[in-house]
Amino acid sequence: MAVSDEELMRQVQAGRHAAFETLVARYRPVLVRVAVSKLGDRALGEDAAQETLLAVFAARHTFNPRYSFRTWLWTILLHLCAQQWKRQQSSDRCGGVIDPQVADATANNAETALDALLRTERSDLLQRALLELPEPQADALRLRFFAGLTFDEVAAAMSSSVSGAKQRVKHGLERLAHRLRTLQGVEP
Amino acid sequence: MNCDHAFELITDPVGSGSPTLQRHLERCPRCRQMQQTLAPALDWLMAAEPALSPGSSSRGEAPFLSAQAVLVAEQVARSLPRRCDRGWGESLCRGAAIAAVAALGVLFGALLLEPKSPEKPATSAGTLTACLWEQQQLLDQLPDTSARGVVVSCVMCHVPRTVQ
Repeated sequence: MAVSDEELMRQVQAGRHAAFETLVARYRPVLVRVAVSKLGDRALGEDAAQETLLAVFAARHTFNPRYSFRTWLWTILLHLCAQQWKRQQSSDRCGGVIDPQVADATANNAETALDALLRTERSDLLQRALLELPEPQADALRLRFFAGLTFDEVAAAMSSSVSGAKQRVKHGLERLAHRLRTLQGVEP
Repeated sequence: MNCDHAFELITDPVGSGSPTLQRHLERCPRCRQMQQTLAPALDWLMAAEPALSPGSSSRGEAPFLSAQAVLVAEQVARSLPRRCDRGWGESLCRGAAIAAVAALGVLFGALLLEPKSPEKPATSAGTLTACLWEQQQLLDQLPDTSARGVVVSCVMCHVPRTVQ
C-alpha cells in the first residue's frame, strides 16, 4: 500500500528528504500538465510546477500533516499560475496554444505521423477551448480531469463549496462541449 | 445512486464506465440527457494526452524559487481546511449544540403553552438562578413548582452557557 502524502510530508519534516522525491515523482507530471494547460506555454508551465514543488519544500515546516497535502499543493499551484498569468499579461507573452514540443513528445510514440498530427490538433483545439472558458470553470475542469482531484479536493483548492465546484465543472463542460462542436464544425 | 453521485461518476475517468452508473442512466432520462450533452467535452478531456512524461524536463535550467512563492505556500498552509474525516470531538460538539438548541425550543414552547395560574406567585429572579438539576433539594423552596417554574429555572441557568 502506498504511503500517504501526509506521512511522506511528516518524514520530510523530520529531515528524511528522500521522501520528498516520492512526492515529486507522484505529483510533478500532473502539476506540469495542469500548469501547461492553464498558462498555454510548456516552459512556463514547467516553471510553475517546479516552483510549486520547491515552495512546498521550502515551507515544509508550516504544513500540518493533519490537513490535506493535495489541497495545499494544488492551491499553491493555482496561486503561482495566477501570478505568472498576470506577469504574462503585462509582458504580452500570452501564447494560447501548446508549444510545438508537445507535438514532438507525442510523435516519439510508435504511431504514424498522421496520428500524431491529429492528436496534436485535438490537443490544440482543447487547449484553445479551455482558454476561452471563464477561469474558475477552466481551473475546475483541469483539476478534475487533468489532476484527477475529487470534487471535495477541487472545492478545497479553489476555496469554494463542493456544490460550487460541481457547478463550475458542469457549466464548464457545457460550454466546452458547445465550443468543441463549433470548432469541429458540427454546430454554427 | 442519486443524480448527484451519477454526475460524479460521469466526470470520473475511472468511474464513468461503472455498471452502477449505466443502470442509473438507463432509468434516469435527465442524467442520460446531460451525459449526451457533455459527451464531446468529456471525451476530449478524458482522452487528452499528458503534457510530458514523468521526470522529463526540456529546460535544463537551474530550479527557480521566489520568496513570493514560499510566502504563498506558508499562507496557504495556515488557511488549509481540515480534512473530511471529522473527529469525535467535533461530532460531539455539533451534536451537543443541536441537542441544546432543540431542548431550548421545547422549553420555550412549553413556556408559551403553559396556562398562567394567578394564584401562584410569580417567580423571582433570585430563586431561578439555582440549577434544580444539580441541587434538587431546592425544588421544595421554589416558589413556582409547576412545570413552567421548573422550565424557567432551567432556561435561566442554561441559556447563558449555550449562548457562550
